[in-house]
Amino acid sequence: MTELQQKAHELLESDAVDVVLGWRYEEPVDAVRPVLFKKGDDLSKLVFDNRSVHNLTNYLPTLVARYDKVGVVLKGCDGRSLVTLLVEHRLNRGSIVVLAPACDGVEVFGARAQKCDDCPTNVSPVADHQFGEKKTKDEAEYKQLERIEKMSPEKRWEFFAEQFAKCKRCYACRQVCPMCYCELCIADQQEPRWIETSVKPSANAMWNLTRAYHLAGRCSDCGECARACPEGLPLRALNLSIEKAVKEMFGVKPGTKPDELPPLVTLAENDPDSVMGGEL
Amino acid sequence: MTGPSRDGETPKMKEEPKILGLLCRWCSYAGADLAGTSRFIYPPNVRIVQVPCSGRVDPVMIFKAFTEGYDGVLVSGCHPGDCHYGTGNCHARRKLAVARRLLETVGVDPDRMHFTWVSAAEGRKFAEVCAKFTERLKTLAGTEKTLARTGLAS
Repeated sequence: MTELQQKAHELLESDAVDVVLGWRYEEPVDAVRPVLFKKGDDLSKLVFDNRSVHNLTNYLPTLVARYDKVGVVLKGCDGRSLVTLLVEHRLNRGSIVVLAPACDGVEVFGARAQKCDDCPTNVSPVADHQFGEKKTKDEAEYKQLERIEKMSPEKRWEFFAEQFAKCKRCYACRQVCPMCYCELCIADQQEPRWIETSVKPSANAMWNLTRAYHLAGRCSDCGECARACPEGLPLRALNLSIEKAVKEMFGVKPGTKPDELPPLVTLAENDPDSVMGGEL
Repeated sequence: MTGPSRDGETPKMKEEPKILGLLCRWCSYAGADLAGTSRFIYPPNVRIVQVPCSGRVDPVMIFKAFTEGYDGVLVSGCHPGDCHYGTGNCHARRKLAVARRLLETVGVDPDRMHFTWVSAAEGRKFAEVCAKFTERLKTLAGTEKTLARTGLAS
């Protein structure tokens, strides 16, 4: 048994947690999937490797409503999502036990995920039990964003218009995102109808811009939206552009400061006017 | 004059840009009123919408304005420190600064959005802002064509 399996077993047997949310290897499909382990389950099936892509924080709000204590296995990026959810009082720290294994990066569709190259830390910033060595990188590199920043504005708009045109409005990006937890999403709101439901260029642009904007100062760059998108829209690039803007203007990287308010709700009387683009 | 023509021709540049003005109820709207009662001459391109506070301005409104065919968005509130509600204008500054960068990323010229402070006593400043912003939008023809061609302004 690995350290992670051992600790999960201990927690369940001692009733320190009611369930452990982790990944199980499924032999018939040769893949791992998120599974709830309960007392008495075979924990040798609990795996954590480069196939553990899912952001399990997305399940936590539902689980804490059903169980008093929830154990969960989180990667570095997932842990940053959890920090934001804790700061926003979406979750109570006391009802969650975080098992934080060191992550060497995950694979999406057979290739190393782009987000892993930009990842600032391989271990969740909130951890009750840590396994493996913590490594941190000072500066995020925003590699995917560089490609877009190099284009001229006209080229950029052409690129994004083409991408937005592919959007089917399936809202998979919203469903998979731990930050998208509004009871009534603005995309479903009837009155006023800010975002039209029809699949057309202007409505698609509205949806994708609004989705990205609502993650401002909150997105932990777990990359789940981009992974879930059936059309392969560059959603991560949109998220990153906002993350970079927030970092440059307000000096905050989302999900790294468990004791601070998020940048967009912080009182900000001393911001320079230059952030608005200056004089006419 | 707006949008792509039916036979697929490149749309002509609109001679007069259409601007959405989102003005705070306590300062800028009163400033616009003063510009009017003082008989200052300024371009009639700004369509004014009164909002309770510039903090009420949701970037979604700005995205909506652009997708509905506006050429520019002017947001104006009380000077920092003068907000009727304390700090609404400072929150607006942060929100709109981020929205601006997002628009820039997808290739919409961020200069199409302008955020400024106009107090209730600054009728002249309001007239100047309108004139300058209208002039600026007239020079941004290139991007405008791109917007119309690719359907953002449809």
